[in-house]
Amino acid sequence: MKEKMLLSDNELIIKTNNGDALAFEELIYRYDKMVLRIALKFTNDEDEAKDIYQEVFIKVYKGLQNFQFKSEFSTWLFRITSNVCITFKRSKQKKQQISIDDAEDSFTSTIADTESDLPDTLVIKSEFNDKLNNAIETLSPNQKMSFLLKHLEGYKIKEIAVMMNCKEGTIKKYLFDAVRRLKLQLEGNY
Amino acid sequence: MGKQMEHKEFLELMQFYLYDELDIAKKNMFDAHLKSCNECSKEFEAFKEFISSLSDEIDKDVDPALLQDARSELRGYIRASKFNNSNNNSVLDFLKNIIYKPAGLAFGGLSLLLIGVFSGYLLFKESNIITDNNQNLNSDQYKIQNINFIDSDPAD
Repeated sequence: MKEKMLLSDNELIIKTNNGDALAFEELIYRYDKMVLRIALKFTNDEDEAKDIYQEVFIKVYKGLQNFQFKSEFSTWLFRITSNVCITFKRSKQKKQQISIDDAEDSFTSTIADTESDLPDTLVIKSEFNDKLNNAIETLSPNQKMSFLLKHLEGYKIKEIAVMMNCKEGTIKKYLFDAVRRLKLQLEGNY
Repeated sequence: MGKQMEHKEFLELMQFYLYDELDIAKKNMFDAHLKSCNECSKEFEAFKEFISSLSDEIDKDVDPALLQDARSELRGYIRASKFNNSNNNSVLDFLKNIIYKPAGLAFGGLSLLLIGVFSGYLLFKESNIITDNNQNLNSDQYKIQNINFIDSDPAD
């Protein structure tokens, strides 16, 4: 029986650039779950995660013609993901600062929305998981991204450095500070 | 003091030891210290438990419905973008054909001819207007010439 040949990322990129839409879909489906998972962990919000997912792959779609094949596609993709997530977080923080006058109203409505959005069949997560998610929320965007790429996706520090366009030492510092901060917040819960 | 420094370095390195990100020399040094120092050994075990709880508890699942939703939204965007691009391209192709093909050249020549005719018409029309004005002027002069002035002193 003839087995279907699995094309490499680079072969799929070439096919995509020659107008093969199915090749692009195949390329996306190899990594999009990881992108969505990072976005979801990064934002802790499904709609925002979908926005990030869309923005990442639109950038990939537009930039694929200029892909130089100097790095792995996955490295390039996660660099885009990292940039989009961090930019998204910063612009969100900026917006939150601007609308500080409406803080009380937003806070009330957020609580109301959260409460009304809770479905009855929601699987109850462990207390530690909730606390972990809340603790991750307190990390800086760079610390959070380094932490997720390491602990969620299992990338090496060297790879994360390329993805985040930083030196390895900087990533080590982000990871060190992130884990110390989480440990401090989760003390006695694990 | 020396042991304190060593202890501090050990604490700094244990995270990266657990990540398996230390070079051989540092790893050997770390292992040696771990065997010889009870205090650090206890610290390391507690930290190891914390790191493994992070990896175990972090939710790695993505709701398949959410993934499908995100995929279909992206597919919709790409299709729309392709449609727009193909429309733009067809307009561009049409314009290129007009300019570069012989029929396009003929069309260009005809357009130039029409522009020339129209310009000539405008110029000709302009000179007619001037002529008309001149005729009007002459008729005015004629009228002035035919005015009979009353001579108050005929002896002049």
